[in-house]
Amino acid sequence: MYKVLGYCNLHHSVKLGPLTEERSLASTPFLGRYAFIDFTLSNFSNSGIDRIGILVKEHLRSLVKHLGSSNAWTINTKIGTKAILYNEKDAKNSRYNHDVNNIKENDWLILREKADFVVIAPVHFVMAINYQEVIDEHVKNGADITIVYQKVDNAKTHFETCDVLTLSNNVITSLKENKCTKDNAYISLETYVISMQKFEELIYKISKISALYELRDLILYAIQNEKVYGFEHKGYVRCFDTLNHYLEYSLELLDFKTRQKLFLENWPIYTITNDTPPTKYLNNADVKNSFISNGAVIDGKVENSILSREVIVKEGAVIKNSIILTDCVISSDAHLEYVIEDKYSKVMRAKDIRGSKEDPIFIKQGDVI
Amino acid sequence: MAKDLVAMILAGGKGTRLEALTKKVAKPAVYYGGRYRIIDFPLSNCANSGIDTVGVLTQYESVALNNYIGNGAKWGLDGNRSLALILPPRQKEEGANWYRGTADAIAQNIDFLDSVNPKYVLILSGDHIYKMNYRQMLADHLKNKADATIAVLNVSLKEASRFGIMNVKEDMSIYEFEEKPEKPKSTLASMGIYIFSYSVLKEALIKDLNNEKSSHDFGKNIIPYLIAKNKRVFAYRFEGYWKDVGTLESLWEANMDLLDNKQDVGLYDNDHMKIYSEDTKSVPEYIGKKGIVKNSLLNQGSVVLGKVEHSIISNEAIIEEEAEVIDSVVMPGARIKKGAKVYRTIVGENMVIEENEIINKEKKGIVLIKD
Repeated sequence: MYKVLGYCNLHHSVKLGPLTEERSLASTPFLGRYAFIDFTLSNFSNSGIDRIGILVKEHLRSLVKHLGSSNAWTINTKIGTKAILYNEKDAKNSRYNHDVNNIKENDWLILREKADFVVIAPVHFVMAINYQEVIDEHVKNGADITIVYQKVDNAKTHFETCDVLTLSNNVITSLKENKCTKDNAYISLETYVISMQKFEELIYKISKISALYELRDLILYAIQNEKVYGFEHKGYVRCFDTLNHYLEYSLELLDFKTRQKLFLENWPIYTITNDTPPTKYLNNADVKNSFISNGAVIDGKVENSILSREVIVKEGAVIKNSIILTDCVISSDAHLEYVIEDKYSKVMRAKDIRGSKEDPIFIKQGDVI
Repeated sequence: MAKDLVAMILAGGKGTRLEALTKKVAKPAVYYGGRYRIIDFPLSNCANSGIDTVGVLTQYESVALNNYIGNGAKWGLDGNRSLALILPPRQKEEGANWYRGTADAIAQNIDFLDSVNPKYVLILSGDHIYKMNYRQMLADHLKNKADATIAVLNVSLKEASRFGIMNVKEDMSIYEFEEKPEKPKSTLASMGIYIFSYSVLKEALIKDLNNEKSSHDFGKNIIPYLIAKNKRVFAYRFEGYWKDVGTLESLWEANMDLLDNKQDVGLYDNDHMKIYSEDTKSVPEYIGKKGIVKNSLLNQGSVVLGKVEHSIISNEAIIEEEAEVIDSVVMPGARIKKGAKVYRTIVGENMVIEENEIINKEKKGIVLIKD
């Protein structure tokens, strides 16, 4: 087995509007019980990769809180590595605070781990993927870099912030921004396998060309000058890139068939524990097609929605097509539709809060309305 | 470093009256409330009482229980200065012995207690459901300058003959202990929770160890011995929920208490006495388009496509379409298939109720489904 160093790259995390104003996408709540980074870390863990560097750009607080001692994954043991990599030197200079500089600033990890390959993966693509299979393919092809991609037929309305690849015999010949003009496209999932020697070489080479060059520029350079192959990921993938998509894609997973593609047999998704008691359903509870998390106490109506931990839904309250985050209270007779309610907020006086699929209503963290 | 208070949890019992539920696991490892095992309660109580050294004495079917306890991390007992140690019977220079009784189990681990060198030892049972701050009991022990303090619960006169009953003076000092008396003189029942000053305990245990007539039991032997020796033995009155789930009926009742009893163990109370447990690698809990869930507790990872009323559903349990679960307890990984109906039943871990099967149609007694 190869020695592999995994980078969880948060530098290119997309923004979900007000939801990510003060938190990183990595630690943003997802499906009631997870945060986005859980999927990437679980993919690493399940792929047998337990030396991980997390490349952090900003919002350290919420991320450190979520990671805790990281004993939910396998990276905090004596044989594993969890390093939170932060480029303090360039933290206040947004042009310089990019992934390549962060990797260089924290090159002690490369020197220490002496890995054969690096795997770089973001958190805004939610999927279940075995990186070992990508490495095997990478070795078989004798590639310098392998890029994971998906062949999609909806690139006009989805993957708007992503890059489109062109391939010839599985060799990648170009990478361009998705202009959303064609539905059929090969979308880059920004997940890369790179042979270690080539990685070190390219990191320093690219910095000499421009100090502002980021990982994406490194890949662009490599496509021109090195052997860059594609690896097709055929399973579930969604790019969580806007608040609307956050709502749409989250609710989409209520469908069993869709969910089955993400939550695979023998591919557990690990997360931190909160030791909350089970969900309590009272006499007037009427819950349909929803994810409900532990500690919630429900006496109202909940439909096509996702409730996080310890949400209280009072008798007579109605929640439809909404995502309610941890510790919220929905009082009697409140009616919520297409609402994203951030943590610790309370709906006390407002009776009718209705957004739409295209324009969901956002309730700020801790607000009482 | 000497410790002021260490806990020893007796978790070796078989729990014969729980029938097939304890065929493969010890009673403290039995599931409760959809996400707990019974031993989570004393272990969480220790953690919440600031007791950082806990010995767990296991014997009967101990593999699953030992594995569950691990290094104590589930209850925050894995820190630098804390210790959760599993103490099964072992071979020694003098020979090998099973634990012959509750007192013998502690006596055989005097070497461990000596190494920790505590001032006071708290003896607990691993199969009771309750929340208790043991520090308050220790404060009482200190105030009374006691050698031993026994937690007691006020029971009804009718129930009293099922328990070990403490007869006390006005100052709560115990002058007599009666095991399951026919005509009880008091209604203060022992909860099997003791605090001993270690030096007194050690002396009594060593004496008892060599007494061939003794059944090596705290209630039957150690406490009467201390009373006879005029030691200062006091009762500490506990008020609150406490349940010894000895039988299938009482296990079922204890689960139903979480739905019906306003004075239940208080899982949702904001009292800094959280009950810690294992975090299963579950997917989110899902209620289907035709699902009906009322007056019930559901744990993460459960899926309800049918109807659940007045029941406890554990992680990874699946209730399929048109299935009905009423007044029942469904343990982890169990599956109630399409059209099956289950009334007043405890469905054991990973059990399957086949399509259209009806369990306990007459709704009488409590049925256990377990292989």
